[in-house]
Amino acid sequence: MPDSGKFLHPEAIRRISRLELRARHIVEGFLSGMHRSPWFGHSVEFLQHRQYAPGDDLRDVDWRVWARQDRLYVKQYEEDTNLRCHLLVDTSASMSFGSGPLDKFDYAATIAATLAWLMLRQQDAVGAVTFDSVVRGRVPVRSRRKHLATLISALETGTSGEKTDLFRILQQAAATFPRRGLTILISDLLCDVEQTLRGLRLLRGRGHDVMVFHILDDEELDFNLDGPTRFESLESGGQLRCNPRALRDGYLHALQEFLDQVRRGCASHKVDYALVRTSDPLDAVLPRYLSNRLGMHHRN
Amino acid sequence: MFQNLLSSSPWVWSGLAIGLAVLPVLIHMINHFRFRTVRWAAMDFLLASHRRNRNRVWLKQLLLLLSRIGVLLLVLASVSRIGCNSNRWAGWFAASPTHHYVLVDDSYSMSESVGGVAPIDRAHQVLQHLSGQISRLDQQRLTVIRWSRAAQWAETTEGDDDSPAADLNGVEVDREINARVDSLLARIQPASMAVAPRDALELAGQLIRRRDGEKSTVYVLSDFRNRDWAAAPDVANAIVRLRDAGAEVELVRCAEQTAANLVIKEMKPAGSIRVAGVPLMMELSVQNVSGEAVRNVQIKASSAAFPDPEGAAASPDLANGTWTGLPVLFIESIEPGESVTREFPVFFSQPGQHVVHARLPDDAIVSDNQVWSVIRLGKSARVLIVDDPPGDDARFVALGLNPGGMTGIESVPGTRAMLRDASIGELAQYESIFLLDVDRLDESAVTGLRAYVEQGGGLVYFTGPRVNLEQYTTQLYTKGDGIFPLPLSRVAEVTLSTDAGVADIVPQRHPVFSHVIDVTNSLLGLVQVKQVLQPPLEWTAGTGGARVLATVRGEARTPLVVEKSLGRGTILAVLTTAGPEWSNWCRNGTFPATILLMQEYVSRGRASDTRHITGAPIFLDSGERTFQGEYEIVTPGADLKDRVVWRKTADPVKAIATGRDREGVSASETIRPGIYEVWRRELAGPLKIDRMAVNVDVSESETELIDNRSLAATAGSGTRITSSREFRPALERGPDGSLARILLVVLLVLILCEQFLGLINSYHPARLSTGGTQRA
Repeated sequence: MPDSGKFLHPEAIRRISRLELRARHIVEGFLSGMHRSPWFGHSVEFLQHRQYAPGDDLRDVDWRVWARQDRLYVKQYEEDTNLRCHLLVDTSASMSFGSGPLDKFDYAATIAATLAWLMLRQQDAVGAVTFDSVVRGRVPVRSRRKHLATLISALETGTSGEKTDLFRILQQAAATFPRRGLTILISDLLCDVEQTLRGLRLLRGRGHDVMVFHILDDEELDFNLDGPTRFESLESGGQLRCNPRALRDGYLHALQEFLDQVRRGCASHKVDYALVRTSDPLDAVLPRYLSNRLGMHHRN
Repeated sequence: MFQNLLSSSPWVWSGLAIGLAVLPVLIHMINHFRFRTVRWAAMDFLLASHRRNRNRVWLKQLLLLLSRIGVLLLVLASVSRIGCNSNRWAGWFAASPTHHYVLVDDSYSMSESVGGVAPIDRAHQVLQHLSGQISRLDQQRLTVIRWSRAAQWAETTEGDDDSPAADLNGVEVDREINARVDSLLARIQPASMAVAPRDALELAGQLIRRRDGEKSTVYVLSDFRNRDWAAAPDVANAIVRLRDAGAEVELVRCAEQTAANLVIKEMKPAGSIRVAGVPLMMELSVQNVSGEAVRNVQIKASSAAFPDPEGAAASPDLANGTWTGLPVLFIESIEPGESVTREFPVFFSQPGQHVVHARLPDDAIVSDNQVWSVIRLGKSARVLIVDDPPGDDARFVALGLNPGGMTGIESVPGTRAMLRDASIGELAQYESIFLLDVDRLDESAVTGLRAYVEQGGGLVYFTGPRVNLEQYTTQLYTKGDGIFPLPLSRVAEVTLSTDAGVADIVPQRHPVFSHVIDVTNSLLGLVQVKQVLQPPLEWTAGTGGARVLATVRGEARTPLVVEKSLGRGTILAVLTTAGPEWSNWCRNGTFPATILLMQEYVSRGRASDTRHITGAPIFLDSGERTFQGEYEIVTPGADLKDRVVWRKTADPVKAIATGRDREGVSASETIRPGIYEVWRRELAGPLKIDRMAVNVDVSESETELIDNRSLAATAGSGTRITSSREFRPALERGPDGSLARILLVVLLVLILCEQFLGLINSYHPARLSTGGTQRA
């Protein structure tokens, strides 16, 4: 049984529940009375078949197709919740680093679960994709409350030990996500920045509303290590023996350049960007971010 | 401990330095392999920083390593005081060390006890106070020089070897210095010598000039008597040279007042006729050198007979005199500054070198209260009388020299040929030589007689008709430089006196005529002189050192008896005959006494070489004899009758190099007054004993203190003059300038640099460090 309480901090949920998540742009639908949707109608209208994926509700399986073709397909309907949120959670090896109680992946999964819980509570549809250089897991978008357990189960798979290839993942997302919606990327973005921004632009070009939670550990941001240290890369396999204090200024300078590039790229592509420290309390990060989105929405 | 450790061996020092230099490198290498591993995500940024800062990081680590090596070496240098022994190091890194030169007057006047405290005691206190003060400071050195040792150094040194002259020579001041000074004080006691300050000042100056890079202060601890410091240009020049060498000079007065003090200035035979079995009068002179009269002075005298040893078994270990007490001499009163002379007889029945000793009661200065004298007595006193051809002259003179056979004088007749062929050694056996109307002298005879007189011999001429005036004037007088006191020009007739009350011989006040001066109705008035030899009219007394002792009656004041000194000897010329040919003096009752007095007067130079003072070497004259290399000397012991026998070996090489016969007693051996003996054997076998009396230099007994104004005039305006009671050495603590302090400051700076470099090189805990963790 997945431990949903691990990711759903009651205090965080309590605070978020007082705020209202409002999409900055008009997306394909809203929860009734809460979200505007470009799509009007009800959920009884069949949309398409999709190959079964673990986590899909067995009730959605089209047994007739299975009987004819011996393949599991699920029926997809035009949903009435109308906010489709895709959570892209990075499970690459670099996400396993952490200096505090939570490493980056734990933190990312918690954020993803919290958002999923919030979405589902609003009867929005939430799906998730875990990835490194390839897609490691996929949870279809659903709006049922019970879907949360499926999502959490997918997030508990842990890191993979592989490199990150965000462009490839974002490219796939842009190609496979059928309807415009909200795409939330939760990653440390430790890969080629240009390719990452290129992927985000691709998503934005398909009409997706994109949010990026940039998860970095305190040590990565502050680099307060000292003493003779041998650094071994989590992804590339390279290593470096040095005194970290001597390289701190240069490291922070390079990191700042990276962050600035990411921040500027996201802004230019109208991607919501939030740099999150693993030490930041979730019940403070998410309300602040969601409040900002609300403010932006009002300004629009 | 470390100081000695490093100064003991340069290998130890080098090993420690290399070890400490290598230690940080080893630690660095160990740390280099003792790292922790962190699995890191943002590796690209780290590599970028590494590529950008690689050279700078390497440089910082190198500087850190060097600073740590420097810290360790400086710690080593600090704890070991390395460099303090090196003037060059001190000159490079720090202010100059301070060198204290203490010159202690140890002449016997420093023993003058006033109120139970002597100046030497105050000098001890000053030295202890100074060592106590400087023992608390860094970079201090101490040199202590006794004046007496400096004087011996100046007398005997050959070259620049001054190290033995100082009791402490450039000693580094440490915790043990007070104990060393205390032990040294036992040796710094008044010597029985009179020592002037010049040699000590010169020695200090030489040491200061040799040791550059030091700050020098010279402390002169003395009683500062007038005789040494008043109008003493050599001392003033020595102080000027000290200041020119960069030294500060401080004169510390250790005497504040003087006390009553008597000194035996001299004790000598009253006459020069010294023959065994003939009583000899001794003349003792006592002076009151203090400012108050001294009454009821009793002088104890004694004599010791040392007969000439006989036989080959004679040894200094066995020889000892037979001491006999003499009647106590009494002086009722001696006024301040006055001298009183007393005569007393001594009698020795056998030939030998006998000793007479006299002693005053103890007073403020004990060292000058006793005196020794050696009396050399022979079987007879031999006098050579040359009367060639023999005539009445020799007979009368021989009769005058030994009237009734009581004087012990043996007259030896001689000839011109004997004088011509005699060596100086043969002539030296005669107390005096009488030349009676000798017409001329051969050149070799003139040379021999000149050497004889210069060595103390006495020469008496009686002239007469046979004298060759030209030869006497040209070859004997030789323009005042010869062995005859005046030139001769002619024979003069003395007119017969018509006044019976006027004598033909008019004597001056002189020892030769002491028996007829101030005597009423002297028999000398009966003497008639018929003829005399006259000098040229242009000759005047004083030319060539001549002095007229008696003249012939008359306005012309024709000289009759003329004296001249040559070397240590004396020459008398009587310008008439000894016999009755030109004068009837030989038949007068005053003639024998005058002849005896002449003989005694001219031969006194032969005894003058027996005076020796403490602290001065005694050189023996070997003459033409050759002695064996080994000889023995006897020095006085602590008591009057104690004798210490030393066996020595002559150094013929040194004797040739110095041009002097170095056999004898060195200056360092004559530190105690008393009787010294040298026992030598000729190669042929005969034993020769030289017995000498060594007495203190009585000039040291002049205890008048110089006042500060006169002392400042001698010492110069830049010299500090303080009293021993007020002595406070102007010492510079010098923490800022000392090498140790400088090293400490540099060490602290280097430690700060090391800490800073360690900080920026990530060798210190970071303020915000949380430590990286890695999850698998």
